[in-house]
Amino acid sequence: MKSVSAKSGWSKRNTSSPMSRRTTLLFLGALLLLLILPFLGSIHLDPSTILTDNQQRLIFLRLRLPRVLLAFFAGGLLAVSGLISQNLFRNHLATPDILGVTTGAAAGAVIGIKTGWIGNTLGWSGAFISGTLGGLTAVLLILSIIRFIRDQSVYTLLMTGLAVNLFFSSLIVLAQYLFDFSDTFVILRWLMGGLAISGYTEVVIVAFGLVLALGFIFMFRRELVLLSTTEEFSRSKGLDIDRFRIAAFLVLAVLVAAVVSVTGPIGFIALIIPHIGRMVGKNQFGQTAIASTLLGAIVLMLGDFLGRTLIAPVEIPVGIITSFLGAPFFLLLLISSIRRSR
Amino acid sequence: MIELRQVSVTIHRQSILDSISLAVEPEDFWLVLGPNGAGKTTLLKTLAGIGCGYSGSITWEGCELRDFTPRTLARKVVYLAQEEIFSLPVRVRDLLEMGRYPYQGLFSRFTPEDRRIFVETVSRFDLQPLLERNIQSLSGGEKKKVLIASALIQDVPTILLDEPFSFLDPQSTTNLLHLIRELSGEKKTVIVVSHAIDRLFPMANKLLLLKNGRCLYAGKKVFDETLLRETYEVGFRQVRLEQKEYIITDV
Repeated sequence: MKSVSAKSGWSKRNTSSPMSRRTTLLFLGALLLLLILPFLGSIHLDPSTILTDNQQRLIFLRLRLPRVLLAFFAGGLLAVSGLISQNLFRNHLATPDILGVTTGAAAGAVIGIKTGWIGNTLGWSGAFISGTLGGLTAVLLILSIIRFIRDQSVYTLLMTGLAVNLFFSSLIVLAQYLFDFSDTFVILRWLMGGLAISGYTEVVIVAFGLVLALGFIFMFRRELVLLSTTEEFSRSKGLDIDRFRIAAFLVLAVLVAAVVSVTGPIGFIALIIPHIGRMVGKNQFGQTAIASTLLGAIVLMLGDFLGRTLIAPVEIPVGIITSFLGAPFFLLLLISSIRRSR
Repeated sequence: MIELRQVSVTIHRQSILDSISLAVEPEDFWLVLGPNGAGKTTLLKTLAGIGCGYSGSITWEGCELRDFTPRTLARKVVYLAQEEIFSLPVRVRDLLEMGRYPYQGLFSRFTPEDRRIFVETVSRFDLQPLLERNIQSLSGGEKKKVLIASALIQDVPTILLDEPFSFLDPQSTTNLLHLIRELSGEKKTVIVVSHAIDRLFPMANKLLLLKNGRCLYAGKKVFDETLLRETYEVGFRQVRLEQKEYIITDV
């Protein structure tokens, strides 16, 4: 038995740790950023004086630390929600931001706030609930359009995403126009996607979302891998596709809403990071999920750092930074996927 | 024992299969022939429980097919599609391990039994060098081998093959033929849909002829020139070459 298992490479698997060397490096990188970045900014903080200097301590504890923590969790959550979404639609361009789930969640949150249905605070759990409803509406819209067209090509998905995005953006504008003008600026700023939050509540919401996402991925990794193959393959392996898909779409809407209701729509992380994560994780789903989480965290932490230091004291919302970096990457992905389908 | 009684399938108001009745005995080797659009693929998918629903009755050892959960059915039968196009990268090892999915619960991991079948199949197919590769990067022959291996890891009594030789070069085709012969010798029920009459006819023991969703013949394998001509609207001939019988199209 021993020789057979050595021959088949099974033993190799048993001796390898749950994290590969590459993901361990990413983990250390993310940890390092998490430790260093709170000290850097328009005002540099000195690690030795934050304990004694009251003002420095306040900046560190009230502003910098929650912000970097939020970047960590939000980046990770955005990335894994992209990964789950790609597998659900069997398409690497089918991420929440491209499909319009993100905009749907944003519209839900804005409408909830504007109509006074859920009170007045962004990032509050009420925005999360109406955001989830918005995200779910978007998912249902996408699914019914795809079912109606009976086609899941890149073209159909992108066009569907375009339509859904437009629909929900106009809903947001409509809600801004019709209702109370008092916090229009705050909402406008929020819609650019940013991490300038007031406290730890938001961090906890997003961290909870990330824990839920990773729990879902590791509990249902076999189902998610099967879904990413083909309809016939996964069905003949005994996957109840329809039931699992419904559950997974629900989870996806919750995850997207958890991050969007806090940070606003931050684009392209969900699209780009899983793509790189698959390369780092060598296409093994578990490793890919871990790598994507860490990469998302690193990219959003660095992006936000750039946003608050590039033209300090003016801050550029991190959503604008990620879009700047993400748009060309998206084009590259699109070109390569069109080339491949020819 | 699989029994089909008056099975009909209608997709988008179009009749694809029209009252097919058939009895598949254990260890049968069925060759399903018919022109394109005859309903062969639909028949296989319906038998595997991954089709769009059917009227009539299909029973596995007396139990109606629609009453099975996808998982229990996946312990009885596996369907191998003509071509699987993977749009996302998947590691070959993960794909192979999915063969054990029908036997695993939410929290269960690989049992020693799962491991044994996995290891045996990997060494039987010499898949060791491919395990860490991405399925999208494999050649047609390699991909087919991996998919068949994952079906064998599933360890089911019935294997449904849909055009297994499409996109394969002569060497891969020959290897696959040997494998199919081995399978039918391993007490498996094999149902093959294929246009490769010349290669598969000698191996089969049962024959099903389909045309426009209707069954023209179902039963013991016979070489009946008029029936084949009626099915394909082309003549066929049986020739002997070095004591072996071959079927060729009459051009």
